[in-house]
Amino acid sequence: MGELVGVYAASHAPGLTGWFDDAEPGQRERVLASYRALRERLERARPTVLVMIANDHLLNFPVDNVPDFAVSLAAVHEGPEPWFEAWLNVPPYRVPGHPQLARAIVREGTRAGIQIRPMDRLRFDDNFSVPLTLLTPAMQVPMVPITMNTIMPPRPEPELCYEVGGVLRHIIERHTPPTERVALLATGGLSHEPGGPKYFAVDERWDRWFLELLAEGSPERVLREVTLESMERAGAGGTSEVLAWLVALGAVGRRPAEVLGYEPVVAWRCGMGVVAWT
Amino acid sequence: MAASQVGRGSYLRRDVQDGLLAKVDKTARINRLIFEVRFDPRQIERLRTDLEAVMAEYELTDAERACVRARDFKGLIELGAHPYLISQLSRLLYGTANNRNSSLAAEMLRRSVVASS
Repeated sequence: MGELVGVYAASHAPGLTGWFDDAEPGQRERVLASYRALRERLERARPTVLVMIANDHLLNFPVDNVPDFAVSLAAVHEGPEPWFEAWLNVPPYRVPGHPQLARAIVREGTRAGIQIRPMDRLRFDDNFSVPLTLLTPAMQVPMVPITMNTIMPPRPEPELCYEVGGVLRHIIERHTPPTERVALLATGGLSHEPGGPKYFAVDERWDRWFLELLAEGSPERVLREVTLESMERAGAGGTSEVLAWLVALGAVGRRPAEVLGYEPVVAWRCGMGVVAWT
Repeated sequence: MAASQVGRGSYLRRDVQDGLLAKVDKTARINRLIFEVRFDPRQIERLRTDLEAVMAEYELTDAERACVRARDFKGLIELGAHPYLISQLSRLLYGTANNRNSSLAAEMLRRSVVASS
């Protein structure tokens, strides 16, 4: 009988921690300001647990074995995966897990028809390391990491992701203790194309269009227009990380997002957006 | 009986049929090699010092091996390598820290994947 006290979404691009200084000075300040604004909101919500949803970058799951969704049941999470420490410029950290909520998500999510795989542990790269470093650097708030497939076709479609968000909300409100205050943070995107011809490009127009749709607050319109094809055109393989944002949208429903900031950071090879629905 | 008459038609997923991700071949051995090497520092080292042996252990095809030797990242993608893993292959071969646009790993990727597009 807990409460969903916060719903947010942000980019997790590795450059933000890994080669921060390469961005233009004005962009650096504005990006940090947007994450600082998000951090303030998160802290004001006083969550007892942070559910984070982001794509797995083929770190835990190889191309021939990618589940739609996966959750780590670990009591303590460790990151980053060693080979990624230097790339991310993030030192090793530990953050408490929440096995009880993780199990509830697997159990009730499965009953709701979601293909969701429990894991004893998940390796973390930029997907969780970057947001944790920017938003909860003390690493004290228990978190439940949910990974999802946005990277290996056939991917869960926007409508499915939206529905999953609704199921997560239901689980949080019906299957947690009354004292639980749950924040939901989706990360990934915005436009980028890792390993492709547009590797060094950011589609600012697409990014701003996407954020504008979220700000407008019509889920029907978002689902109608933000298709996989649209995401791929903006940057193949990378932009589709915003499927995690659609999970967050599904948890919050018909509600306009507040855009806390957007910067097209070519130096980090990614459009950097931050939004809050609460 | 036409395929469209079997079943009710729209239960399969509709993902992109063209473009970068449509080429990925989940059976391509190069994808398994990159996936596993990252977890073991000794294997990462061997990729630089003992490349032929590692490629043989992963049973890469002749075409895959030729592309790896030539650092033909675009060729590997054409053979079914996942582009995200290819960006990591470049970092495994050329270094992973400070992966700015001017880094060697990014530059080698640029020459192969961006320049020849």
